[in-house]
Amino acid sequence: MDVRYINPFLGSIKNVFDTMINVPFNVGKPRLKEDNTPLYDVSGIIGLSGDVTGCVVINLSKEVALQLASALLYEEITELDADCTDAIGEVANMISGNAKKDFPEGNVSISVPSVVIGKHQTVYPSKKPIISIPCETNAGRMIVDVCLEKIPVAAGV
Amino acid sequence: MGYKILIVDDSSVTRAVLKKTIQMTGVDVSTVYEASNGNEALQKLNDNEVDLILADLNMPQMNGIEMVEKVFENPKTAETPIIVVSTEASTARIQLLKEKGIKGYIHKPFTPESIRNVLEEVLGASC
Repeated sequence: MDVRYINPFLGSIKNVFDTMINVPFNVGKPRLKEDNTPLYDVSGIIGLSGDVTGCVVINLSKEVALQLASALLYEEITELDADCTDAIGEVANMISGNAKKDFPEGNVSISVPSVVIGKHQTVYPSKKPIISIPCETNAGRMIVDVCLEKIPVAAGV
Repeated sequence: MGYKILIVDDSSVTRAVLKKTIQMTGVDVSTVYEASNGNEALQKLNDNEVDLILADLNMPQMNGIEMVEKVFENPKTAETPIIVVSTEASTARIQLLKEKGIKGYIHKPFTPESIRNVLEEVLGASC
């Protein structure tokens, strides 16, 4: 996958944490994901379409989900309820929306986020490389999985 | 008497975060109305006088662009300032919205300072 579609996520994760999720964090080195299964139970999923297609999955444990939702909402969230899943969807939306503004191609749309609970509820596109970007907080790890493909320009266009 | 603001966003979390962020700015806001899409927003505007609309773009049923057009078409609401709050980053789309008459744009993620600056600029509010 072209690094020009990965680097924007590094800046975007930092931007979202710095402005709206005030918890200590550290973004790690992106690496190729070796399987097609999410590591953690909570996933916020965004689809991308246009010049670039694919998905972005924000994958995290319940503990990190509660930490991020609490920080975003300025109140303690203790259950994986509708407010928590809505917050994780919003985090996925902000990270993806911010990243796409730095893509080399401008014509890219993002879907509304969906949030699923359970590792086997998340399905990645098959046979396509997935780049995982780890992000550590003091409650655990969030992983941003990026699986994108540039749509080739049709001949003669 | 405080300002009345309408927040339009399909995410209840975003509405709650915006509401709390507005409170943190110290601007004198007496009422915050909420709507989860353009249709609901138009209904709220029909029933209430508001000083400012903060609206997302990507929403079900009626998106932000359609809502902006309808607000400016209605003589009752045509003068109500609209600020778009969105992750949308397309310069062309933002320019289109400015040509339609929106007063400003706040990119998500936002800080309390960015919200305060816009409230000061659009409402003339002193914080």
